[in-house]
Amino acid sequence: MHANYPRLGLVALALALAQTALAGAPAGLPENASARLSGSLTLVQAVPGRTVDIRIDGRPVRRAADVGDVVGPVRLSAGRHTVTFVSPGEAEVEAAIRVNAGGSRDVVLHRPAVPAGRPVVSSFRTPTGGVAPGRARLVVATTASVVPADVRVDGRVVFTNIANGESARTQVEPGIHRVTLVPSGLAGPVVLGPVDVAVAPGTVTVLYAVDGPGSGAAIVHTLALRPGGGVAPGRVDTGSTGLARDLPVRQFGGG
Amino acid sequence: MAVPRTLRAFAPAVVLALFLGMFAPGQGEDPVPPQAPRVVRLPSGAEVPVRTVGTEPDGELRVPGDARSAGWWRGGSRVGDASGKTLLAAHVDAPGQGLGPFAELYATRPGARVVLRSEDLVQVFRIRSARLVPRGSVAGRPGLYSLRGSRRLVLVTCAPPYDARHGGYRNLLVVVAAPTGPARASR
Repeated sequence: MHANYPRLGLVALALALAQTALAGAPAGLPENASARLSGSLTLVQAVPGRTVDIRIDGRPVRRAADVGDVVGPVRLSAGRHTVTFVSPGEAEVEAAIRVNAGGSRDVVLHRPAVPAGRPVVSSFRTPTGGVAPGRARLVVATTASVVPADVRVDGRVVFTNIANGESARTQVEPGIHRVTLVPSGLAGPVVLGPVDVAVAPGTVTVLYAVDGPGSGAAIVHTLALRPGGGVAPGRVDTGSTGLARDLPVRQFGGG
Repeated sequence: MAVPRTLRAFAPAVVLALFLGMFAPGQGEDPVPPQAPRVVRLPSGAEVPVRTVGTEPDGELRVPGDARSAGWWRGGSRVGDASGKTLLAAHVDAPGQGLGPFAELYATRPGARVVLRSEDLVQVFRIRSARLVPRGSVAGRPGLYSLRGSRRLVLVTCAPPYDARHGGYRNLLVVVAAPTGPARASR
């Protein structure tokens, strides 16, 4: 295996941990009143074999980002911002990104579907709506030079036909999930993985499939979510008029 | 070669079939992701629409006021999930409506068939048990709504005795059904 690509699962976990450490200050979602006027961007460098300087509105935010580097979340005022990726000896790649108030978005520099093509920028809105208690959200995006893929989580196909620059999301139970991408409609060969992704309750975990030798690589990062969907049901109130008061009830089976 | 002439005639077709087989989706795969239930068909054949509901901050399930609809707790398992409970609750009666369709569960029998449908999936269940529990005891019974454990459909409605001065019905009827097989694409 290539030196830059140790075990994929470990890369994923290490990046997730690095991200948690890095995100000490603005850890994902805005909470205060001023947050209504701002949103956040997370910048992801997903082009193998390049070091990239990243600027937002001309201001440097990261020098020499390697493949797999996740920068941010960077808090920005709501509105349009320009994100620029600069690589020595290569043309600049620039994208105008709209930041929504209270929203969170990933901006990813990655290879296009055609392997020889120049790097492109895709932006993915992070689904930060609440999840049900005891659940977590998993987002999988294809940012590798591959054909449209089906995403398997723990062996089951949960998304079909995700093309380069597209993403899909689902709710999962917290824990370790094994993610595999295969060409759409086929059993193989594997495009990515399997990658083991640790998913914590009440979080959204975003996985980017990236070009790499063999079965590709993954970049993973995580944001906390607001609780949603209510608490676990403690009371069920399903009667009102008393019409059924004299009806017999047949009971059977285990409690 | 001692291959009979008739077999040789079929050879291109066999090669083509093998070639196409390479591209067929894996057997036993279910390409449709799990989905929220939309309709439950009770043993009598009554089709009850299912709405997705949450809970109040105090834990009360937001059961639809209309007794002709059931509420599915959105935190539980969906059609197509491999494990956990799908909790559906409906009023046994409602003002101006008389008894709702869930009232038939009072007289249900072991093995009765219940069909759960989502937009693209269908799963068949057989009723295993029907038990009365005190109405206030849901919180202590994660087996009614947990994402974990065996796949079950849990149907809940209010049941007697009825005490108008003390909050109405005192019991819940809890009907538990087990799947006869995995969820399948409905079209």
